[in-house]
Order: sequence, then C-alpha cells, then structure tokens
Amino acid sequence: MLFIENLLVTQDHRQILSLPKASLVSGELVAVLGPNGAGKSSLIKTICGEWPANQGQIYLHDKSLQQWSRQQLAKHLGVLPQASQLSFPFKAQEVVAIGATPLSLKRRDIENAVQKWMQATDTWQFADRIYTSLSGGERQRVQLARVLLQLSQAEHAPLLLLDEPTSAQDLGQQHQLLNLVKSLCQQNGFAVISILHDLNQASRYADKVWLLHQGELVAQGSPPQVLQPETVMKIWGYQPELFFNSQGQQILV
Amino acid sequence: MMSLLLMVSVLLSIMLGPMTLPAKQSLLSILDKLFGSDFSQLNAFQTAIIWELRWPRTLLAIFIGALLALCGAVTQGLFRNPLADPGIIGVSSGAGLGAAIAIVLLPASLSYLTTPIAAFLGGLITTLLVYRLAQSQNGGTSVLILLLAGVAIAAFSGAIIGFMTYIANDMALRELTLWGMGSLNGANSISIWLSALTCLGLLMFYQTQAPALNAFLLGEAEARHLGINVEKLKLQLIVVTAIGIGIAVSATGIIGFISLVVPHLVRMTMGPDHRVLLPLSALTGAVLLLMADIGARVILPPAELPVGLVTALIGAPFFAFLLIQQRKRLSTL
Repeated sequence: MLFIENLLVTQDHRQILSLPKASLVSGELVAVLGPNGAGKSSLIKTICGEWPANQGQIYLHDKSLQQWSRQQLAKHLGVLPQASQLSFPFKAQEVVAIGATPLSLKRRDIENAVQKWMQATDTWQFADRIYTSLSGGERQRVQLARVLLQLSQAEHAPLLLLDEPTSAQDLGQQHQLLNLVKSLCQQNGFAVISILHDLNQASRYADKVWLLHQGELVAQGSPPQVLQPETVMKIWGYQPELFFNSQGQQILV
Repeated sequence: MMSLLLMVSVLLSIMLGPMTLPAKQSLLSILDKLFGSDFSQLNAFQTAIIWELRWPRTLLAIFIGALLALCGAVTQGLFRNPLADPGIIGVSSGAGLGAAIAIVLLPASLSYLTTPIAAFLGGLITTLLVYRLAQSQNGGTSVLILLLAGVAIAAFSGAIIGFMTYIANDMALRELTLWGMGSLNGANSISIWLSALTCLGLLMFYQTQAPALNAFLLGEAEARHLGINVEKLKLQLIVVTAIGIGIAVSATGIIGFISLVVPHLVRMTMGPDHRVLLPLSALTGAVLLLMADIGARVILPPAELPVGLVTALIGAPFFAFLLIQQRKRLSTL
C-alpha cells in the first residue's frame, strides 16, 4: 500500500535522505532504526509531506501523495509527533476529539470514538484532566488516541507514522503501546512505520526493519536478517552479544 | 448569563453620565423607541441625551468591545500563544500609525473612508511582520520576540505619530488627540454601522474556522496532517484580523487590553475550545468595554476619562498577573 521510489531529500546542498526503493503492505509494522542523525525523523517528515522531497515519488494505495485531497489524506495518513507544543488548557478528551473535527463524524459517534480510543491507549482515566498538566508519556498517549481517532475514519487501510512512540513511556506502557499498534496492524490492516531505539523491541514487534545510516537505507529485511552483531558494530560502534530467548527470538545485549 | 449582564450594562450606560437619569424611565424610553409607545415621562431634553449621546456610544462600545475581544482570541490562537494580544505585539500601534497618517496627510472630507483603510493596512503590515519575526524553527512562536517586536513597533509608531502631530493642522490635531487616547466619543452612524457589520462578519467567518483553529493549536504540522490548509488558514486569519483591528482602531483609537483580558477570562471558565470561546468572547468583550465606558463617565464627573485609560488601568495589572503566573514557563524560553 505504500511504495517509495528514488526518494532524495537535500537541504543546503547536503543530502539528508536517499531511499532508492522501499515498500510496505497493509498489516505490516516497520521499525526504522539507526544512530542519531541517520535521517529517521527526516524519513517520517518526508513521507507525511512536511518536508518536500527533491526527487522521487511516494505512492499510498497506488496514488501519488500529491494526488490525494487533503481530507482524504488526513483520513489515511496519521502522524504521532515526538512532542507537541500545545500550550492551551484543553481537557485530554478535547485534544482527542480534535482528531475528528475537520473530518466527517457525527457528534454522538465522536463521543463514542473518543472513549474507545482513550481506553485503548490507557488514557481514559484522565479524560477530564487538563492536557498541559499531564506527564510527557501521558500526553504522548493522548496524542496517539487523537491520531487513531483520525485514522478510524479511513476507508482503506491507513498508514500510521510514529516518531519515537516509546521514548517517554515507562516499560509497561512501552509494551502496552506496541501491542496496541501490533494488533491494529493484524486486525485493522494498519501499516505502521515507527522509529524505535530499542533493537530488541524492534525484533519483538516489527515485521521488517529499515536500517538507516548517514541518510542512506543500508539494509532492509526481517529483524533477525538485519540485526546481526557485526551490523550493529558497524553502524553503532558497539559490539553486542547475541542470545536467543525461549521463543527463539534473538536478543542483543 | 452574559446576555443578561449585557442588557443590564446597556441600561446602566443609558442612565449614567454627568446627568443621571432614573432607571425606570430610561427603560421605558427604550421600550418606547422599540415599540413606538409613549410610556416614558422623560422630557425632550432627557430623551435627546439618551438617543443623541448615550445610545450611539453604547452601540459603538458593544460592537468595538466584541470586535476587540474576537480579534484578541483569534490572535492568541494564530500565534498559539496566550500572551499574544494585538495591543501588546504592536498590531494596534501599526493600525494606529496608519490611521494617524491618514488623518493628517489625507483630505479630511474623505477621512471616514481613508482612516479605516489606512488603519487596516497598518495593522496588516505589522501582523505579517511580527508573524515572520516570531516564527521559530520548531514551528512555534517565541514569546520573547513577540513582546520585543511589540516594543519596537510601538516605539516606531509613537515616533511617527509624534511627527504627524507636529506637522498636523488644527483640525487634524484635534481629531488626532481625541482619538489617540481611545475614546468612544466619536460615535456616529458610519462608525457604528461599520463596526457592527465587521463584528458580525468576523464572528461568522471565525465561527466557520473554529474547528480548524482548535486543530491549529496543536501545531502547524499536526493541523496539516488533519487535512487543514494551514497556509491559507493563516493568511485568511491574519488579513481578517487586521481588518477587525483596523476598523476598531479607526473608530475609537487604541483601546488596549480588552483583547487580552477577555479571551483569558472566557478560557478560564469555559476552556479553550474556539467554538465556544469566540462567541462568548465577543459577548464578554461587549460587556467589559461598556462597563469601562460607564466607568470613564462616572469616575470624575462632569469630566470624562478616555475609555482607553480605564481599560489600561484594569488590563495592565491583569497582564502583569499573567506574566507572574507564567513566569516559570517563560523563563525557560
């Protein structure tokens, strides 16, 4: 459903991102990995159209992104930013409801959907608290509920982009969140591209890994294929040890 | 509740002034006017005070108050910053500069037309300028730069307005001084109609954009991902708000702080949702300016203070209070 071709992004004549070919099918969760400054955030920003690509095309459901209408694209492409700058005292549930306002849900449906997605993201218990008084992790989950409400209006399988969704979460919430995302892929056919930092989380949840280094896509494939100790050494400069857990999943320490 | 308060303030505004009129008779006089009846026992002189002096002024206070509060609420949303106020960030000064140039340099016979247009242009140019200046890398606006831009623009406009005062002829000078302090004295049918129509137009336009404005508060990128044409929205809001401020400034001069205080009061009680915030701000702004004008008339009778002085007296401490309240957040910027 997502197809990227000959993508090239430059800034001040410096190449930031080059992606000759990459694709994603409905139901797949891709982990984008790479050291700081590898171009992970740039990739997210380019796919969602925030940064214009200098070259290349991005197709969503066989239609180039430029051909989508704003409204239609909003229903099918959602982005969870790393941090939000909202500084007005909205209640958490009002923030989530903003996910529906520019689009086309009935008022009663919005209320139900807000509750549904807030429960799914474990935020319903502070629905009436003021957003700005929440902790970083709580805010991020409220934002996720908003984005999921936005995408729940999709007619085809939607694409969800997550910029470090686990960065502000505690261990339990990290896994709860990734499980939620995983089940959206499996049951609702979401395609998800998520920036992650923890290689073992990527191994556990992702179907595919895109490994970025200095703006280049240096490897893509299943987690065990890509995440070999020597690759990790080459990219991050750290020599990990490889173990296998009881389910046969590989673990790098 | 607010509507009731508005009606009470209208009645007070009709009654109070250098000459106090009885409440019951004033109320009856309004009924007479509305229904063509003849209940009121006020004499012709008193009726004239009501309908020639106080009524136009009351109407102007309502529309300008509403207009200022609306523009304030939208400016704060547009800058995603609860301290952005057309007065503080210099937009009113810019509009004032435009108006002053029109009053002094353009023919007086056309001033009912040229002053609002020049005020609008002045307001528009400053809004665009301030917006460009304050835009920071991460897509937000910097409070520090906003306030400093306001200081710079106010100083610059002050200097040019001073220069205009210096070269103005007697008539222009009179108009300039009267209007420079912010006063509802100049109420006439043109300014009332103009502000009424602008106020209604803005209210309707802003209301259609209220959901988009809510999304805009999340951030520009987020709003874009929600399917909003952010560039178009920003441009529309800047132009329309500059029209509002321009009309307000050309009708009454610079009346500060209504646009800062009112949206804050409404947000404190009703939350920041623009669908509620905008109409309620308009109503509250009308009440507050009307009250301030009543205050301006009764504090030092028979003299009358410029209403801009009264709103500054209430508003400036409120602004200081906001700064103290947000000190922690601001000091990290």
